[in-house]
Amino acid sequence: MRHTLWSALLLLPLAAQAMTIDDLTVGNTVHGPKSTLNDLKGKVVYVEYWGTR
Amino acid sequence: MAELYKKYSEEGFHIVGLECQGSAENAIVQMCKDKGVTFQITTGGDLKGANVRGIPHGFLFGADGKLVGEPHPGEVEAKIKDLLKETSAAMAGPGPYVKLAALAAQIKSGNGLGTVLKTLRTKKDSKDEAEAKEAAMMFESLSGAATRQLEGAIGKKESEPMSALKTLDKLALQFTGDEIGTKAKSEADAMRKDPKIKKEVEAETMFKTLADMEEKLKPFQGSKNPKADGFKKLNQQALVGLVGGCQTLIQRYPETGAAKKAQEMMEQYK
Repeated sequence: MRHTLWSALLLLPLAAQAMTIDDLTVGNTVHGPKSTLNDLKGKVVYVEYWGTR
Repeated sequence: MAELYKKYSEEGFHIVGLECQGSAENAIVQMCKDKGVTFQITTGGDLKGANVRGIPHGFLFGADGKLVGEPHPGEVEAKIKDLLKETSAAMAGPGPYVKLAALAAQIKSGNGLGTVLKTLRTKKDSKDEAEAKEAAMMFESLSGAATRQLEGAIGKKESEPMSALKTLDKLALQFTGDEIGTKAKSEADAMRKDPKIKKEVEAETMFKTLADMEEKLKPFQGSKNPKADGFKKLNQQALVGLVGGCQTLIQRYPETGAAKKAQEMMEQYK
């Protein structure tokens, strides 16, 4: 059980590291350039979770 | 991040702000105006697998699409600069390249890419299997990246003419001798003949002068808060010139992108 727990904890950062820009759902643009996922290919992209409050 | 976007967006850096508090659209737009945010903000977006602990929280991806990390605000700019240097290299594809290492290095330099594509077209038919395989991989990656950039620039000719023109000029130069370079030059030349674009270019040149003037405004007690009385007093003469310049630009070049930027600038300093 402990072995399983440690294995899961070790795998978590690896799962995050496997993330790519294809995991992004852009959503509906309300401000700024209306870039699609395809427009982002080949660019350095910073995805920021953002809010007004 | 607003400042970093302004600084590096023309070099291939992009920000997507995923609004995650359910804010109303007008509240989002107002906040962007107040904070000088010009990057893309979306609603209903998401990053699969993201573990977000409080906002703002950012994830940085390289030009190859892979996650680089979740940098601390203090280290973001340095990481962005390093990644942008690699963007040209990423156009060659993941490799590894043994037979065509020299061509991969040339792609990384960002120069003479038209000649590189021409060479790759020949090498794809090489009798050396390993060389042919590398050439096919490199060609697909480089021509794919260039085509996406070209299509992206053509796609934003109306909405972002100055940015489109800059990209087309860069592609025309980088891919001289190749059909991508020829097409980019043809599109850029056509844009320059368009009277509307000519106005945009002139307006943008004028706005750059105003932006330089803004940069030279002196901080008051370490701050450039445009509403602070101390700041206004310290920069009184310069602000008169700046606001006057904005008004002139707006009058001379109404309905241009630069006029919109001048309007926003003027509202800050009036």
